Parts: sequence; structure tokens; C-alpha cells
Amino acid sequence: MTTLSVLMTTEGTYPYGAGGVSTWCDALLRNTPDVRYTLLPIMMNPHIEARFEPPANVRSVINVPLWGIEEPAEFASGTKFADLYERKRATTDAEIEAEFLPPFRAFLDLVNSGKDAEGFGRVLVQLEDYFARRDYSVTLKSRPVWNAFVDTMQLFARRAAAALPEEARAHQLPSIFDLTECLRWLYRFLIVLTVRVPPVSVTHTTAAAFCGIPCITAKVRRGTPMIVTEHGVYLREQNLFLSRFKRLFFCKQFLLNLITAVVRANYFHADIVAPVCHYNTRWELAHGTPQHKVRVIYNGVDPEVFSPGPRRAGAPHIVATARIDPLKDIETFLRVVARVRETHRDVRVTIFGNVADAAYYERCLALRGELGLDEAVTMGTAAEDEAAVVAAYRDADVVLLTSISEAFPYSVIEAMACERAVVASDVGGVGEALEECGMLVRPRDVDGFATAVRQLLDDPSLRARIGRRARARVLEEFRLDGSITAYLELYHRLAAATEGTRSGEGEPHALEVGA
Amino acid sequence: MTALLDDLGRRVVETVGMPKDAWEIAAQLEVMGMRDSDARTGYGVRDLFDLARAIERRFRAGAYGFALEGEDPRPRALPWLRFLRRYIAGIAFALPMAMQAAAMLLWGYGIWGAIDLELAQGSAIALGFIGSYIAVGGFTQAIVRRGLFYIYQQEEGLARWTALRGFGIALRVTLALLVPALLINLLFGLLPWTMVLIASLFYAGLTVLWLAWALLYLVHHTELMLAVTAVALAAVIAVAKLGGAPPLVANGIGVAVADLLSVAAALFFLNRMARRRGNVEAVNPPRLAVLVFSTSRYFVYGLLFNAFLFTDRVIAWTTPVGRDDFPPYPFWLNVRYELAMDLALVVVIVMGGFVQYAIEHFSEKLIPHEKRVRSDEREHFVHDQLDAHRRRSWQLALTALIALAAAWLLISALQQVDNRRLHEVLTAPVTMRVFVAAAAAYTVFMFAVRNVLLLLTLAAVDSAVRSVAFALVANIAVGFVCSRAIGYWAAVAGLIAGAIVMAIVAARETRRILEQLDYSYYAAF
Repeated sequence: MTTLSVLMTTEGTYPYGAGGVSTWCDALLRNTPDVRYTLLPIMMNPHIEARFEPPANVRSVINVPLWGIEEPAEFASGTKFADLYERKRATTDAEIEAEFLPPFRAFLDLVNSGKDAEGFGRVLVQLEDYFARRDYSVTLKSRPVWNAFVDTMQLFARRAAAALPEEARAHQLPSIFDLTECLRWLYRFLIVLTVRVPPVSVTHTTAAAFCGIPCITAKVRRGTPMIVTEHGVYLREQNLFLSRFKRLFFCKQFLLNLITAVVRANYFHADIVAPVCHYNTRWELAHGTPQHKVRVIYNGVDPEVFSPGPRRAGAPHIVATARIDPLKDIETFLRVVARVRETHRDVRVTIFGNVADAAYYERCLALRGELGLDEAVTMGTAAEDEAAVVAAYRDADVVLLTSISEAFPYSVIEAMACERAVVASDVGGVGEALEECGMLVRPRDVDGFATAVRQLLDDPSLRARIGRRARARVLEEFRLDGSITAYLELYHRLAAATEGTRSGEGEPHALEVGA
Repeated sequence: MTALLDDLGRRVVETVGMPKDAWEIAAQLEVMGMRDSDARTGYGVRDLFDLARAIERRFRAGAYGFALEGEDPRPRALPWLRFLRRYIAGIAFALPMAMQAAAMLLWGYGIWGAIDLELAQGSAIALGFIGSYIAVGGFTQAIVRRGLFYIYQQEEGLARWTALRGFGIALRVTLALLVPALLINLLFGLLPWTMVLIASLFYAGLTVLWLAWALLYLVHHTELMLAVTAVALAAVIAVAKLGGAPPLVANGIGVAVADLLSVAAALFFLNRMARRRGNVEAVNPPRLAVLVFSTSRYFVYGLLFNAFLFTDRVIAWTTPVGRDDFPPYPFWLNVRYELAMDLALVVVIVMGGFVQYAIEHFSEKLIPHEKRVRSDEREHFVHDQLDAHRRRSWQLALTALIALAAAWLLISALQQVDNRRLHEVLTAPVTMRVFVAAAAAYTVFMFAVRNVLLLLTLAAVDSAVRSVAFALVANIAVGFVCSRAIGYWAAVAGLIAGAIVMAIVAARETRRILEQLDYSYYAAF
């Protein structure tokens, strides 16, 4: 039997970033030792220290930094410098106009129109082929590309302006700066097209994002089956992130159009779209993913590691494992604690999580002081390791999560596995995790959260019952080995199903794999 | 229901400004805590996406006003204050030189020179000085260029790593160049070994100094160059006047003190810079070949530029034609020529401050200008930028007049100083001839420098290299012919020719870049 080989692609996560996606990746790689992985992490810059050591079955790591480099050639390992230099010399304006501009214009039209995900995949292959022969930096920084970009975007802007109210039309038309920024961003994001990946049995992208591009092109070229796992919904997260660009509307619009085109291409070309909760399927289905492709595979935890244990005696303790980030709504968390302490003065609180947003952290510290919680609430540092996380849960009476946006958070099922009562906001897939085994509250509902927490603090037997039910649910639905087995089965089925087509028996085609 | 919807819609628009589409609105609704059930019960629609589409329709119908953030905030400092600050920053590089010149006049000593030095020793030091300045020219540009790139990326640890690695490589390479130089002297016996030894020692010492000062520039502590100069001068004067040491020994100690202080300060601030962001160690640094390639054009520019600055002196001091001091060796310092050239540098100092201001002003204004201009009005943008460039040229011309007047006043004032030797040198016809020619040359040169710096600001380094390369060729060709045909002092004609060529080529390249400034700025990253 041929060894199963998988290209796994990540973006801003494993092995360089911390968080749920990285934890999931590491667990999957380590628990499938017979699978040979090629890892392709897209990183913000190349100078990040790895937080995870990939296991031995990861045979190669192809780092793709988008920033922190002047050009992709800086990290083109395996390519002789003389070849890179020769490629630069051979990339002339005439070559660019003849070979690059046609697919580039087609690419921009597809980005602006948001249609034809299949065509988008084909254009990506054409661009990838071009960059195999010609220099990326010389091309993207050339005058012909600038002119083509300007002309195409101006035409798009004039058409789009017609659909806007009068006062908004002026903002639709790009300034010179808008176009400069947009093309510079495009330069960064398309760096992934310079990467050559080896043929594999299956590709698996951990987000419907730019990291999915090598998977898309492998599918278009060779029919390599493709899995998309969606932890968060990339498109929604980018919409939220880019909403900050209140002034640069054109830039926001361009980026979101680009991201939408990439996301839809991921969904279209994937054989399986595997969100970590049913809630995420809303966005996927709304963007044209056929239902038969969607298969929810929940995150899982190791119940031997995350297991119940005796709680230290002492004052009531509320615990959260959440990074300090606006989406975790720590401000509501603090207000809830203040409300609870009106009746439960001795409650102490620990938030285990790194600071993801320094400005937001400062706001939270100020609020903590304002609410008189400086002594009662500890926050700003993550637990050192998994054992410390388990100890944190075991030391909790109540685990509280007040996020305003979630997918299927590990913190909830970890706490459940430790037989802890969880009070959490009813967002994303949290409700799917908790069901009857915890307390769901409307987001930002301070009184609702406080009532639920008080109820649990006042009733140890209720806490114990909920805790036991929670652990039972984890053992039934959210075990790590269950999640791993599901992916391994998918790998084998997809690989086996396409083996016949690759030996020349037919055209590659999207598979229908039952949920 | 519409009122309820509009209330929600306004809240969304208040957060995002102008929404791109319903998907952006839907994302906002989700983080506002709304769920599909809220959309059904509260607004009578199927789900959040339908709710978002309803809000989008109302937005496009003009139901919601929206606010976008205003223009970039205007600078808080008054214009003249900004000018003064930049002007001072521009002349800051020259202050160590000016301090040394003043010390020479007052006490007879600089860090690497002294009035009472024997001419053979002075010639050797001059040779070491020029050799070191040219040898490190490329390295300093490459180190600063790459270091600033990493600082801009907030990778201070990597900037530190690059700077130190560059320092080490530069030092090894420049010192290694001594080997062929010594071999050539061994084969051809050009200079006596005492001179060669002195030249080599000062070459090595000054190489370290220039490299350390490049690191100080990288960490934005150029004021320390002045402080180091002051301390080193104090050491020289103390050792010479109080310790009775011979001038050569005093100068050697001065250079050593300057080296120690500069290197220590550079290391201190590099480490502090890296520690500030917590990334002291460089993670996954780039390949050396890539580093070399990416900075190679800046290296060439730096090497050629520094060579240009001293070509006329090398040409003048390697010919006996017209000299009445009968130089005994192929390279022999001429005090009159040297003094004339140094005094003419006043023009560079005075104009340099304005050039600094002009470049920073251009950089500061470029992005706000691009934000104000629609992309289909590029011609107006280019026209306005060319206009601004022309205005600056006229202002630079006015500065040139002031600079020339200042230079003339200085030499006139020095001619009145009660010092027979100084008076004799300053009033000698050769000195005045070279001074006037050099002042004129430096005036033209500063116009060229302004354009070259603009080209570098826009990453048009090939254009900058072309300007300097052609200028160097002209400098060598004209200087050599004139110095051999007319007299050693006519080497300054090479400087004039080179400055004119640099000015013409740089002006042409700058115009070409400015005429497509929208593209030029885009590609400058």
C-alpha cells in the first residue's frame, strides 16, 4: 500500500503561533504517525520562533513568510542563487506584458466580480506557472503591472460607484494611495504562488484562506483531493478585522473582495469542508458550498489528560482560559465579576491567557481598577503548559466564557472534560458543545451571566451534576481520538478514491463523501 | 419595523463607516451578540444574513449617514520650527568635522591631524584616512539600508544581528585589503615602510570608526558622533600638551579613544534597541548570499560616492607637476590644497542642512498628497510634485548663495588671524584658486546630492548609482588630465566636472522618476 502523504497548510498558526488551531494541528500530526506530512505554514514574517516542534512524520516544512522580507527569493530554499539571478534578468517588461498581464487582468476581474470560483482556481494555476519561470518581485514591481492594476481598478470603481448613494460615491473612487496600498498588499498575499509543493495523496488546509491556494492549484493540476478545515470562519474574521479601515474604504473593499474570492475558491475546490461546529456551516453554505461537501468534525480533547480532580479548598474561584482580545469580551467578563461580588465578596477570579491586543489589555486593566477588582482578578498571563491548564480547571468552581465570537472553543470542552460547570455566551458553536451540560447566556448580558454564576456558586450539587453530565458528553462526542480517527478515515477514503483517476482512468472530479 | 431596522443599521454604520456589503454587516451583527433567533423574533427576517441584506439595502438607499475618518493629522510643530529641526539634523553630520577644524585652529590638533606633524606622517595619515573612507563606503550603506529595513519591520533583534554581522564582515574585508596594498609596496617600493605602517594603522583605526558611526546612525544617535569627537579631541590635546607626546602618538591615541567610545556606544544602543521589543536574538536570519544580493546596489553606490569625494585629492597628491615642495614619494600631501578643500566644505555644510529639510519635507508630504488625489487625476499629482521640486531647487539656489558667502567670510576671517604660517597658506594663490573652484564645485555637487538622496528615498538606487558612476569617471578623467597638464592643483577641475555630470545625470533621473511618481512610490518598498 502506498504511504499516505498529506500537504497540510496553515496561516498564522502551527507551528509558530499558539492557540486552538495550533493545538489541533499538533494533536493531528502526532496521532497519525503513519501519515507523511509536508507542512506549509504561511507566516507574517520569517523571524518567528516555533512554538511547536513538528513530529518526525512531518518530512518537510516549507515556510512562506509574507512580510519581513524584501522578496520571496530571500527564502527560496533549495534554489541556487545563480538561478534566481538569471530569472531576474530574464524577466523583462516585454515578457511581463505578454505572459503575465493576461492572467493577471483575469485574476483582478474575478476578484472584483466575486464570481466563478472554478475560473479563479484556473487563473491561480496560470499565475503559479508564470512564477515558476519568471521573477516574482521584478514582475509585481514593474510598471506594466502597475498600469494594468490602475486601469482595471479604476474601471471597476466607476461601475461600483453607480450602485452607491450619492454621498458615498466619492469614497468608491480610489486615490493614488489606495491603489498603492492595494497592490502592495497583493504583492504580499500572492507570494504563496511562488511555492512549489510536492505531489501528495491529499491536501489539507486549516483555513479557507490564502494557505488554501497551494491545495487549490494541486486540485486543479492533478486532481489531488482537498480538505478544508474551518476552525473560525476566515471570511467573517477578516470582515471584522478590516472593518477598522473606516477611512480607506477602497482598500477595505479590495481586500475583502480578494479574500472572498480566495475563500470561495477554497470552498469550491474542496472535496470536504469540515467546520468544527455546525454554526460555522452557515457562512460556508451561504457562500455556495454544496451541503454534501460539508462534514462537521468537532474538536476533541484527551479525557485522560483533561480529567476531573479534587479542588483545592478555599474561596470560590471563577476561571477563564481566554486571550485578552476584544472578541473574548473581557470587559463584560469584568462587569460580571463585579456584579457577582456584590453578593459573593470572597470570589476570586483568574483569566489565563496571553495578551493579544495591548491597547485592549490596557482598557481592561483600567476597567478592573475602576470596578475595584485589582485584588480579586488576576489576568494577562497564560498557563505554562497543558498540566497547568488542567490544574487551573480543577481549581475552578465555575468556568466562565463571555466571548462575543467563537467557533468551537477548546476551553469549553476542556473544562467540561474536567467536570467543571461552564457558563458561556451563546455564540458560534458553544451551544453545540454545552447543550444541556452548562449554562448559555446571551452575549454581553451582564445580569444573565451574573445570575447563572451565582446560581452555580450557591449550589454545589448543581455544579457537580452539570459537571458530570458535561464530562459524559465529552466522552461521547468530543474525544480527541474520535476527531483524529475521523480525519484519518477521510484521508484514506479521499486518497483511495482518486487513485484510479490518477492512473489515467478518468478526469479528476469532486467527490461526494457522506457526512 | 423600519425604524427598528434603521436604528440597528445606524449602529452598524457607526462602527464600520461605509459598509462594503451585507457580509461585513452580518459579521458586525454577530459580534454585537445577535443570533439568527434575534433576527427572526426582533426583525421578522429569516436569519442574520437576511437582516444584513436588509440593512445594506437601506444603506444604499441613502438612509444612513456615515462618517469616515478625516485626513492625516497636520504636524503640530510650526513650519519654521520643523525647518530648523531638520536643518540642524542635516548639518549634524558635519559638526564633528567643524569641531576638529576649530580645534586645529585653536590648539593645533585634530583627532587625526596636527599642525606640527611632519609632512611624511601627515601624508601617511591622509592616505590611511582616504583609503578607509573609500573602503567602508559600500559597507556602511549596506548595513544601514538593511538595518533600517528590519527596524521598520519591528524586528530590532534582526537589525542588531545584521548590523553586527555586517560590521564584522566589513572589518575583515577592509583589513584584508591591506594585504595586497602591502604586497604592492613590497614589490614596487612606492613608500617607505614607516609611512606604510602609519597609513595602515590609521586606515585600520578609522575603518573601525566609520563602521561604528554607521551603527550609531542606525540607532538614531548621531549626536554621539559629536560627543565622541569632543572626548577624543580632549584626549589628543591632553596627551600632547600635558603629556608631551609627539603629535603622531597623540593622534593615534585620539583615534583609539574615538574607536572605543563609538563601538561601546553602538553596542549599547543596539542591544537596548533589541531588548526594548524583547527580541534580542535573531530568529531564522536570511542567507548571507541573499543579504549580499539585496544590498549590493547600495554597496556599489556607497563605494562610488565615497570614492568620488576624495578622487581629486588622490589625483592632486600623486603628481609632482606644478609643486614647489618636490614630493619625494608618489603620494604626498599638499597642505594648501587640503586646507582649501576643507574650507570649501562650508558650502556643503550650509547647503546640507537645507537638503536634509527638502528630502524630509518631500517624504512627509507625499502620502497625504497621494491620499488627496484621485487615481484618475495622476497628471495633476505629478504636475504638483514637479512644481514643488522646482520650488525647492530655487530655494536651494538661494541657500547656495548664502553658503558661498559664508565660505568667503570664513576664509577672509581666517586670513586676518595672527598666525604667520596660516596666513601664508591661506593667501597663497594656489589655495585661493583651489578654494574658489572647490566652493563652486561643491555648490553644484549639493544640487546633485539632493537629487541623489531623492532617488534613494524612492528606492531608485540604480539611478543613483548611474549618477555617481558617471560623475566618478568624469572626475578621474578631467582631474587626471588637468593635473598632469596644468598642475597638481588643477585636479580640482575633476571635482567640478564630476559635480556637473552628477548634477545633470541625477537631475535627468529624478525628473524621470518624478514624472511617474505614482508608480515610483508604489515600487519603492
